[in-house]
Amino acid sequence: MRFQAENRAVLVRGLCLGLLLLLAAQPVMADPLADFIEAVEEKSEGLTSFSVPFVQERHLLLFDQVVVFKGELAISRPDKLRWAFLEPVPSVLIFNGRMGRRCNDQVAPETFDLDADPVMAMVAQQLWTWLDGRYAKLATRYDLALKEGTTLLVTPKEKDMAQFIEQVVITFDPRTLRPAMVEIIEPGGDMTRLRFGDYQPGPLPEHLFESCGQP
Amino acid sequence: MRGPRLLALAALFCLVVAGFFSLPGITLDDDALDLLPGEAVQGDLRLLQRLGLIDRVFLTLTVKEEGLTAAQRLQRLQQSALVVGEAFADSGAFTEVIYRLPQGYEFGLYRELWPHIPALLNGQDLAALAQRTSNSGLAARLAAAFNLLNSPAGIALKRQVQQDPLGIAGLALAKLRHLQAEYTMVVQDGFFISEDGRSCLIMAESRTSLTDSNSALQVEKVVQDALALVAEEVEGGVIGSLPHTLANARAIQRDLRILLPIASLLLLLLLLVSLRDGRAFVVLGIPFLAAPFAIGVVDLVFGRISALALGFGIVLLGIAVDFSVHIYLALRRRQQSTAQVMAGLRRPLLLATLTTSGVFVVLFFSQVASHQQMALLALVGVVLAVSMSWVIIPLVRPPRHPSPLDRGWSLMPPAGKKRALVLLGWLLLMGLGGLSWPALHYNGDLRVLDAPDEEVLAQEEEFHRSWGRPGDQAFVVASAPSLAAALEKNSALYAFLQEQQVSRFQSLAPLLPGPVTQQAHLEAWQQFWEQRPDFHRRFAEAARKQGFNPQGFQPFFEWLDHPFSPLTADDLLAGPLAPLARNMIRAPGPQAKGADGEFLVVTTVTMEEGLYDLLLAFSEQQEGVYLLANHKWRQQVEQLLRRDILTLSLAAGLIILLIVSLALRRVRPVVGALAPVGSALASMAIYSLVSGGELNMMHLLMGIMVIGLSVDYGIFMVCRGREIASMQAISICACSSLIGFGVLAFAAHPALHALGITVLVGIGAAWPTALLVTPILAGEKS
Repeated sequence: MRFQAENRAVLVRGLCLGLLLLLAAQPVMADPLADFIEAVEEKSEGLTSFSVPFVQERHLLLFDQVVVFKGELAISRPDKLRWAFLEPVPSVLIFNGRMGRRCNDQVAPETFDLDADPVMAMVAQQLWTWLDGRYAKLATRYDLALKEGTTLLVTPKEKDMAQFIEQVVITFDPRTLRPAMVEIIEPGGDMTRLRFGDYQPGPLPEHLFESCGQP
Repeated sequence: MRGPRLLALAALFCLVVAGFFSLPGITLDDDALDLLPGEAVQGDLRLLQRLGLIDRVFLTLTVKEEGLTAAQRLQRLQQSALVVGEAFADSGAFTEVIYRLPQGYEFGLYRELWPHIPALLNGQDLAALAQRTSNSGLAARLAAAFNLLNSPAGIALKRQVQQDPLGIAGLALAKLRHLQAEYTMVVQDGFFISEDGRSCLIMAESRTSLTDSNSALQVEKVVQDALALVAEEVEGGVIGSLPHTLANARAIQRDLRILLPIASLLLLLLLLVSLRDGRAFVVLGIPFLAAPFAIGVVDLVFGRISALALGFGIVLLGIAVDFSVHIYLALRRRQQSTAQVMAGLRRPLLLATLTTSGVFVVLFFSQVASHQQMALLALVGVVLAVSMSWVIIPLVRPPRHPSPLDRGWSLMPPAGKKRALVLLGWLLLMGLGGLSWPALHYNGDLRVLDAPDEEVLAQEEEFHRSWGRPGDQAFVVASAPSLAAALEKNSALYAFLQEQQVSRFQSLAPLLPGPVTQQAHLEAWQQFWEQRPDFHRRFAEAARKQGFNPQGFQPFFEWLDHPFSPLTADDLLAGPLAPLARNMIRAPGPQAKGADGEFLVVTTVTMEEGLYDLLLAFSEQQEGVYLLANHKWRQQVEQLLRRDILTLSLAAGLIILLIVSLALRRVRPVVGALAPVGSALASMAIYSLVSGGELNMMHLLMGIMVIGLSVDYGIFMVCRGREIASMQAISICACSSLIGFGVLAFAAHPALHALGITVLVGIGAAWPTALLVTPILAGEKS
C-alpha cells in the first residue's frame, strides 16, 4: 500500500511538471494565425486613409440571378467611412463618428445617429469589423481560423450575430496583406462577395465624409 | 365650590380627557385637494393624483465638462443614468422608474407587434397600404427593397424585406411617435437623450405624496444618494413637485427660525409688563386644552383632518384666549366679589362667543373641505375654551392689585375737537375702504402661495433648455370599470384628435386601440384583401420585373394568410414598451371603490388655440372622459372661491349684525360694536389695493379671524364701557395678536406674509377703533 501511495505521488508530481513545461513552452511555439494577424495589423497600421474600388456580388435566393454592384470604398481612420455604389444604382452611405448619412437618387438625403438607429449601428459595426484591419480584437466575439496561409475564417460566437452571418471569409493579398476579397455567408446559403481592387493610400478630402456629392 | 360649578368642572375635565385619548387615533391628512373647492375640481385633481402626475420626479443628468467628445459624453450619461436608475429602483421610494427602455427594444417590439399589426391599422393606414399595393406602388416598393438588399444594410434587413416587402410594420411602428412625450429627445440605446447630447432624462413616480414635506425630504435623500454615484463630469437637476415642496418648507422654516424667537420674546415682555403674574400664563393656556377634544370631533365628523385645517383651526381657536384675558383682568381689577364680576362679564362674553361662533358656522358652509374642517374645529374649540375659562379662571383667583399700565386709560374716549377728528379719520378710512373693495379681485391660483427659490427656477429653466418647452398641456382621462372599456374610450378620443387634425399629443390609442376598435380594424383588413383578389399575381409580376424570385417572399404571403388576433394590454405591458405604457394606464387598487375603482387611460394633449373648447365639449359628451387642464381648474377654482367669499362674507356679516342688533337693540351701540370690524375690513381692502389689488386664500382665512377678534373688541367696549380692565384686556389681546401674527408680515414666504399682513393691518386698525371710535359711536360721553 505504501509503495502504491509513493508511486501515485511521483506520478502526480510528474504530471504537474509536464503540464508546467507545456504551458511554459506555449509562447515560443509557432501560432500561424497569431503571426498572420500580427503581420496584417502591422501592414494596416501604416495605412490611415485610403480609397479602393470594389465589386459586390449578391448571391441571394431572393434574387433570380446574381446581382453585381460596383463602387468605391473610402476610409479615414479612426471613424470615417464612405461606401459608394457607382453602378447600376448610385448611392452613398457615410459614417462619420457616431453620425451617418445616406443618399440615393430616389429619396432625399437622410442623416442618422448610430446611437438611435440600431440597424445602421449594426451595419457600421460590421463594415468596421471587416475593413478596419484590426483583426486580433475579433477573437472575443468570433472564432478565427487561418486557411491556406492568407485566408481568415471568421465565425460568430454569439447567437444574435449568428442568425445573420454564418461565416465571413477574408482573403488577403499575399503581397500587401490587404483584404482582396470578403465573402459574407449567411444562414440558408445566401452569400455576398466583395472583391477589392487597387488600394489608393493617401489623405482623403474631408468633404467625402460630410456630404454625398453626386451619388 | 358649589355643586353646579363642580359638575361643570367634572364634565369639562371628562371632555378634555376624552380629547386627549382620541388624539392617537386621529387620521392626519396632508391632501392638497382639501384646499380646493367643489367636487368637480377635487375629482379632477384626484384623477391626476391617481395617474401619478403630481408625485412624479423628473431628473435631468447633464454633462458639464466641455472637454469631452460626443461619445465620451454619451458614455458618461448612460453610465450615470444606469446607476441612478438602479439606485432609484432599489430604494423602494418609487413605484415606477423609467430610465431606459430594454436593450434591443426595437427588435423586441417588432417581434411583439408583428402578429397583431392588422388590428392596429386604421382607415388612414389602409389608404396608404392601398397605394403601396397598386401596380406603381408595388414597383416603387420593390425597387426600394432591391436597393436596400444590395446596400450594406441588406444583410441585417433581408428577413424583414422577405417578410414585409410593403413596409406594413412601418405603418404600425410610426404610431410609436405618439408614445413619446412632447419633449424633444432621442432614444439612444434605450436611454432618453437630449438633442444636444448633453443630457439624459430619468422619470420616477414617488410611492408617497410629494406635496408632503416629510415624504419629500425622504425622496430627496434617495435622489441625493443616487446622484453621489454618477460620473464626475455629470450633474443632476430635479423638477416637479418635489423641489417646490422642499423650497416652500425650507422658506417657511427659515422665516420661522428668525421670526418666532422675536415674536416669543416680544410676547413674553408684553405679558410680563402687563400682567406681572405667573398665574396669568396658566390662564392663557387654558383655552388650548380645548384643542384635543375639538380635533377629535372633527375627526369623528369628517373621518380625517387635514393638516391645514388643524394648523389654522388651532390658530382660530386662539381667539378664545381673548375671553380668558378679559375674565382674568376683570377678576384682578374689580373690587367686587368673584360672583359679581362674573355676572357682569356674562353678557359681553356670551355675545362675543355667539358672534365668533356665528362666523365659524358660516365658514362651515364653505365649499373647501379644509375650511369646513377648520370651522368645526374652531367652533367646538372656542365654545369649549370659553366654557373652561368661565369655570376654571375664577378658581385660579388672580391677585387684586393695580397694574402699572392702569394709568392713561382715563383719557379715552377723546373729548372735544379730538373726538371730531377721530370720527372724521374713521369715516375717511371707511370711505377709502369702501372705494377700494370693488377694485380687488380674488386670485384662486394656489401658485401665488408657492415660493420656489432661485435654484428651483434655474433647474426648471435648465430642464426646458434641454428638453424643450411643450407649452400648456391638458390631460384627457378615459375612465371605465374595465380596461377594455377605458381603452375603447381612449380610442374614441384618438379618432376625435385625428378628425380635428391635432398632431401634438401623447397617447396609447394608436398602438393599443380598444378591443372593439381592433376587431373593426381586423374586419377592415379582411375586406381590404378580399377587394384585391389578384394581388398575389400582380406582386409576383412586379417582383420578377425588379429581379426578384417571387418565391423568396413566401414568408410574407404566409403571414397574410395567418389568422390575426387583437393586441392586448397584457401583451404590451409584458413587452419592451411596458415602462412607457404603465405611465399611461392606471389599474384600480384591490380595495378601491367607486370612481377610484375604475381603470384610467390618459392622453396628454399640447394645447393649441381653440382646442380647449373642443376637448371640453368632447369630454362633456362622452361619459367617463375627463378633461384635466390648468386653464379649467384656475377658472373653476376662482369662480367657486369668489362665490364662496361673497356668500360667506355676506352671511357672516348678517349673522354678526343680527346677533349684535338683537343683543344691543339700539342703533348706536350696534354701530359702535361693529366699528372695529369695519375698520379692519377697510384697512385690509386699502392695503390689498395698494399692494397689487389681489386677495388670496390666506387673506380669506386670516380675514375671518380678524373679523372674529374685531367684533369682540367692539362688543366688550360697548358692554363694559370705559372700564380699564376691559380696555386693558382688549389692548393686551390686540398687542399679542399683532406680535404673534404681525411679525409674519416680514416673512419672505408669500403665504406667511399674507397671513401676517392681514392680521397686522386688520387688528392694527380694529384695536384703536375699538378704544377710540366705538365709545363715540356707541354714544358714550367722555
